[in-house]
Amino acid sequence: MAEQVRQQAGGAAGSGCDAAPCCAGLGTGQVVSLCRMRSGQCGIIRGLLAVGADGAYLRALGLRANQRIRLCRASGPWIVEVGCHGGPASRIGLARDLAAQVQVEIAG
Amino acid sequence: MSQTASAKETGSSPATAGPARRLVLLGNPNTGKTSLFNRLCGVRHKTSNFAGTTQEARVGAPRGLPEGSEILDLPGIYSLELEQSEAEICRRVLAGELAPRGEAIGEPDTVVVVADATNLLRSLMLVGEATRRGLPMIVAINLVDEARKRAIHADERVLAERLGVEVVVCSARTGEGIEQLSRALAQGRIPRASPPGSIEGLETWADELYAQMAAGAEPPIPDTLTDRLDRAFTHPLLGLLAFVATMGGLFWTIFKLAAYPMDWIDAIFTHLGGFLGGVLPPGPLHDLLVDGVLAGVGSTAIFVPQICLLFFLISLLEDTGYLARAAFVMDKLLRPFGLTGHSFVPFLSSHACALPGIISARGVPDRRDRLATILAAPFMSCTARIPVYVLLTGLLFPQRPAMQALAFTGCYAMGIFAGLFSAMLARRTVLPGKSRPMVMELPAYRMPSLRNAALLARDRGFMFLRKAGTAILAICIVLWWLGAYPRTTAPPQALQLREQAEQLRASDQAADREGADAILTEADALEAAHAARSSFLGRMGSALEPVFRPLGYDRQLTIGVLASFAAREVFVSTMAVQVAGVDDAESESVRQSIATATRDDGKTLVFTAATSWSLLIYYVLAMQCLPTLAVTAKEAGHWKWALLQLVWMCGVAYVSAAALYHILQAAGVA
Repeated sequence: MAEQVRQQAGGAAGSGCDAAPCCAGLGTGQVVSLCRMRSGQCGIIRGLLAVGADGAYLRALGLRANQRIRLCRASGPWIVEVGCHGGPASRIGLARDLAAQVQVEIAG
Repeated sequence: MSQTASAKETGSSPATAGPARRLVLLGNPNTGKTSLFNRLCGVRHKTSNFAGTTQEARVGAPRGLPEGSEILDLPGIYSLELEQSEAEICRRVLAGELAPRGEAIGEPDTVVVVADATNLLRSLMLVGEATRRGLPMIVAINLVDEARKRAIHADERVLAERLGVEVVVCSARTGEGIEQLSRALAQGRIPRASPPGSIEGLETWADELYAQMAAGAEPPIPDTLTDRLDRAFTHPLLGLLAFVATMGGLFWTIFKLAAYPMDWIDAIFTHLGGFLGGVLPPGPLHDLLVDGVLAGVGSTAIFVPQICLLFFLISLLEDTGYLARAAFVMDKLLRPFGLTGHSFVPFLSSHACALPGIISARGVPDRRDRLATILAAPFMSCTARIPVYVLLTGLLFPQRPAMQALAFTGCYAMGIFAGLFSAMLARRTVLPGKSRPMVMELPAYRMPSLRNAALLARDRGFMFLRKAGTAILAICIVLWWLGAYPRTTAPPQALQLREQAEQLRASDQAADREGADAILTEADALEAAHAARSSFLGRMGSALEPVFRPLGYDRQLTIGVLASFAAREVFVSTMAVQVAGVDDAESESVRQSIATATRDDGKTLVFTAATSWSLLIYYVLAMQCLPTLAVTAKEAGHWKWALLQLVWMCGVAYVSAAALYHILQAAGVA
């Protein structure tokens, strides 16, 4: 599953954000949907299952492959900090339906 | 970050046809784009719409550029490629296919891309998209003060070098870098870089560029305060309590503070009316100006303080970052009705006046959600209904303020419920389809800008006054004419009273002269009531009485209901004229006259308990505001939506009021 999503993301594992200090613990290969993460957990987005307008909007907001995230709140709304630790961050609030469409590789 | 970074090798110079320049501001939402616009132009701007759309366009005259130069504040977007109306407007403006109403169409001379220093990576995506357009460009990296506080560093010289355009770091909030930006506005250059065309390629380009800009920078300071505040404001219980407290405070402030300027406006129009009444000789022109134009504009302009204050406070709340959190709190409550959290600001605004409420529905991203919000918004009890609620609850529960307050609150609750139910019905019938899941950026908590809020309040006030001076004025004049014509002679009974008064006036006794005044007042009342009955509106009332009879209304109440189509509060003064012959419904004696007024049979009360309840329900639910219908048609894009709103609201009001009247009659409440 992790490999499949990694391929969706353009096989970008190991590039870009993986090299950042906060992601040093990554590499567990455990890929879950955002709505299955716990509050406070970090990870890297490995793929978006949302397509069409919703997918394009999430991408435009910065929820795209290889972006570092931190889950700030793990229930409606799911609040995600995009670009945490190593760089500037923005916060995105998502309903459960959309949170379920974001695939994240959890930090170890 | 230094304040200005220029490319060492400049890109090709733009070709400008004349000295005046046309610039556009492009940027993500929450990047302080509008604050920057306000800094660059101040009050020297006008608000209109993009031609053929309802999207607002602000055009200003920037300082430091040749006379006639303009800067256009484009809607905030996350990407030029999104299938959203705002993104389409930006695309068409950049392509030279669209301009604000009244402005010449043509490609902009310079695109000023406003980037967010606290979220530069995402801003670089939009910079890349704009770069691909090949237009002369400047990048303004805003919010640098906030970035500094959070120890976020990025070297803007790298960006200037890569793109070959001017890059200015600034803060619209503190004014830092604004002078440099003003000077740079004349130096837009065509970028020499050309980011990849595919979305994946652009993402990689932005990632690499940001990595170069931020190379060697220390990690920023984590924002733990935002975490804590978010946990509270989006908590199922705490969030709701915070929401109720905030909205309660908002409304309290609006009603409390707006009361003073509203009283002043009322006094000004009363004085103006008195002045014009004294200067102009009696006749049609006098009546048209004093009773038609002045009274019509005055009754509308009185709401300007509430509208300005509402937008001022909403702007402050929005600036703090709280409104985005509140939208999520409301999302859970609104979703069962087929709406999203985006609808809550329009509903909130509609409690002051449906006009700004419907206009603010522009912020609802999905078209079907937006239309459902527009259709439901006028159900919210606006301030124009308050005088009617006060009159009817006072008649229903005389000397029982607690019951009056309970009934009053019930009216508000019923309006909200009816609006939500109607939205749900609309989403299941005429606007089918699932609501899009809620997703939105939660901007950082910030100190609000009083300057931005004041400018927005001023713009909204002017917009409303423009409407008051055109459509609303026309409607008021037509309704005044229907209520004032044809002119009739005084009824014989009034003539007799006047003769009687003349005789008493001739007397030497002071008591007789006082008695003459009272008789003259009675004669005036009789004449006014007779004129109201004989007017076109009065005749329409008589003709339409059978239509409203199932609701328990007689001829006089029917006239009151018909007159309310100018503005709901007109009902109170119309009834005062109908039954007491004067329009001062505040007077205790007039209220007493209204309470004891009888129908044409001389026995039955006009306001029985059943009739009053029926009227109360009717006024909560009915669409009786022609300006609202005009705005609905404009914002929804077609008159069919306004017609649907009119038919649905009046239909629901009619059936509910008739049902309640007959139930109360059957229960012996008369």
